[in-house]
Amino acid sequence: MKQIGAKTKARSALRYLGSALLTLWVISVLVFAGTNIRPAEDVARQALGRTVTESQLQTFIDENGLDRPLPQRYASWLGDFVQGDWGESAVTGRPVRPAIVPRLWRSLLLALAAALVAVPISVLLGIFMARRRQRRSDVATNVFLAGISALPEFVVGLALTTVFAVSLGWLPVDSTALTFGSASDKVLAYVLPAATLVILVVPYIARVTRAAVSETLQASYTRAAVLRGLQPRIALWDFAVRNAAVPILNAVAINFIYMLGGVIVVENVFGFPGIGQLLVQSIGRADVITVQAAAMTIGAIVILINMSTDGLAVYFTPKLRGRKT
Amino acid sequence: MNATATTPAAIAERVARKRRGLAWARTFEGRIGLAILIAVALLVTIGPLLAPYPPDEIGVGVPLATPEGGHLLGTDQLGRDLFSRYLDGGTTIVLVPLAANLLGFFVGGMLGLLGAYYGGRADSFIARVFDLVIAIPSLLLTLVLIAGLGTSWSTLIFVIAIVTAPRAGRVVRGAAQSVAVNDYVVAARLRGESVWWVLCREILPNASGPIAAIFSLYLTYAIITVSTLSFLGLGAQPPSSDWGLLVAEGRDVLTINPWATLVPAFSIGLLAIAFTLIADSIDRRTAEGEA
Repeated sequence: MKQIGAKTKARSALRYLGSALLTLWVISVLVFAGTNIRPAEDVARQALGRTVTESQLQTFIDENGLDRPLPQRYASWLGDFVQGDWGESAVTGRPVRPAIVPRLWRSLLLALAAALVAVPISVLLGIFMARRRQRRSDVATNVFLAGISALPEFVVGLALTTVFAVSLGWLPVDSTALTFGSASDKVLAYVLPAATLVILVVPYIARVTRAAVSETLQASYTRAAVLRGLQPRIALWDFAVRNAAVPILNAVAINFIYMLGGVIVVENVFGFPGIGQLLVQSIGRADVITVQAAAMTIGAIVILINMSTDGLAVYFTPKLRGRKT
Repeated sequence: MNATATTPAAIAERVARKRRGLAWARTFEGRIGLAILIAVALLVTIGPLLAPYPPDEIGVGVPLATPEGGHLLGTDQLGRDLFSRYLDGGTTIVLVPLAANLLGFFVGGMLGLLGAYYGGRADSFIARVFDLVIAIPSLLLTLVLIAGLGTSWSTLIFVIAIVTAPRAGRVVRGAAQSVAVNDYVVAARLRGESVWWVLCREILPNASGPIAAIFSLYLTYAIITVSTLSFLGLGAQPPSSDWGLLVAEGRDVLTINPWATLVPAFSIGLLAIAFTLIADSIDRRTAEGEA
């Protein structure tokens, strides 16, 4: 195999960084355009409520510089944002960043907990299905998983709530305990939202694992390993599963990114005080500054994870190194 | 595979192709999907006629009655009959995603087709733009656009179409690219057929399998998005009886009357499942047809 020079490596790293920054820039343009598309007066009126005088509106417009042209406003907004000045919410009157950071950690913890449970379950399920390919149990499981994967987040969440919180009473109905409850209440508050995310990501990873492993199981090197008399266990894990690692890793990455979007809905189902709940509430309240900051934060994290998993995949697959993407 | 040929072989080929077009309905998952789809379609079209009460009439029963009180799903805070509201509210969840998908696939598909046909710089530029938009999480993009444009069914259709278009475009472009290299396409171009004729008569029919599968799959996503937005209070607005909104309103009284929430929620889920299963079966049949 050809040795890859440090130069090529640095160049491909730069390429990833460049496309990540480009995406982030597009997100910032969309977020800003999306939240500033309406005339200045509308923005001011929504922030201040319906019963305001003309002079109050004018003061708000002057204070926030809403009468300047859009590109200029965009430039100064982006400049402030990058430097960590995320502005003050016109609805709550408080700075936005301290409101977002603790919520962000809770959301990330929720997604991480769900991933830690979901990945082993789904990979094992996929391997199980791959070994009984085209048998009745495989087809049935496959169709069942396809069905589950089509369910909206709130349907799964509400079904779990009805069973485990309302009927059985084992778990809290919502996750509001996170802001004021005791330590054990706080742990319990994560269970149902995390379980909802697990149910939603298992089908995808399991089906990708099934497809990948059933391919490597039929590959000549695996059959040769079996014919050489290696233990079936070794043939399965060291030959079939190991060679299926990249598509599986990819599926895990895609689903982790999906979960960061999925938390937006799941948090709202359970009243979970995370960043997604803040985003949706702020849209409902027309709290432009908070919408911008929350959307940018979620976008930035998704791009960051995207970039690092791309890098990981390259690291795990020597074949991909130095290839132009 | 000239579509205008009249030799017996060409006719037989066309008949076979037509049959293959419905072959997905004979698979296990295709049958389940089709059965659910027909059931939901019947419910949505005939349902409103069967409603025992006017869906918007306040006070036809005691407020917040549970199903035991003579109302099949109970009543809401205003004493409206929830079963009637359920029967009445299924139209939007079918029509809005369909309209959004048709618009998104038309715009994205056009760009993808033209890109695949002409190639070159314009094509790689279109592909770049597709990738850039796809890199943004779809729900985040949807929410940001809705934050700016406000809420109405037409903006919702527009926003979902924007989110769908690059994804549809990428698939159509890929499918068209693999068809465009075939001899019959090259022959048609050399015959001097117009761009339209080649795209619509040679490329599209032969790329229809993957496109149909992905259309069905994106219908699932659109159904999820529309119902989720209504559930979050950013889609259908009161006093609409849209299923997503019924779920959101029922969420507050889940502990008293879970059926009022679960029935519309599972109806949405079933509809979404139907299109996924159909997408799956088309996908499988297309793959088998090529093998």
